[in-house]
Amino acid sequence: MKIVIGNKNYSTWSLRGWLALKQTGAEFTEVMVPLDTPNTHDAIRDYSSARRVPVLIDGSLSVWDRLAIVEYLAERFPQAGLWPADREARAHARAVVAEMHSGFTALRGYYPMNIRRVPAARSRVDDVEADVARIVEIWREMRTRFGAGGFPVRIFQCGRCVLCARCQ
Amino acid sequence: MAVDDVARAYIDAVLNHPAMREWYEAALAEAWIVPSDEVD
Repeated sequence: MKIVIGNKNYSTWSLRGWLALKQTGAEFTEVMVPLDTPNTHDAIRDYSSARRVPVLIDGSLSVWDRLAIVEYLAERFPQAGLWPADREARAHARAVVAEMHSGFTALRGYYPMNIRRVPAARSRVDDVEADVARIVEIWREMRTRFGAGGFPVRIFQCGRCVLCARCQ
Repeated sequence: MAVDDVARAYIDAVLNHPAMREWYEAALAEAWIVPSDEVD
């Protein structure tokens, strides 16, 4: 199994697919495609016509899109328990992941991930504050419903957690 | 940006996850620069 990713310093999309794969315990290799070069899209096209990372390669199968990768891995490695076993918890987890997958554009745009350095302080922006407040609300709801140690979504929120962590 | 104790605990738990630490260490070792992501 192989995963094609972008730079680990910048690519939260890659991080999410990589973390889910890591969580399965499966052996895999990484192919890193440097982002933002003249050759980036062409290099990714060798693995996916979508030309975006991450891309999961399993034999002749190519799965692009981080959420599709997570779903594929959950089917491929059921013993990993990537989704909660409980139906309600699983539905809740999927709703949270879907919200994170498609939303929080203000936060993502305002605080892109850059692990190597601490960004300069920025002025407060209402849309960004609202995104952060919504993430905290999601965590609080999960804690209330599933317990302090029972965050049902496990690793899937990490990409967004990193973004939030950058907001400290 | 300040966050409450629940959020702080969750952020810390994620950032201290072994897989996250592995990703972080690799990121710190990268030399490639994307100029548009280095602007404050």
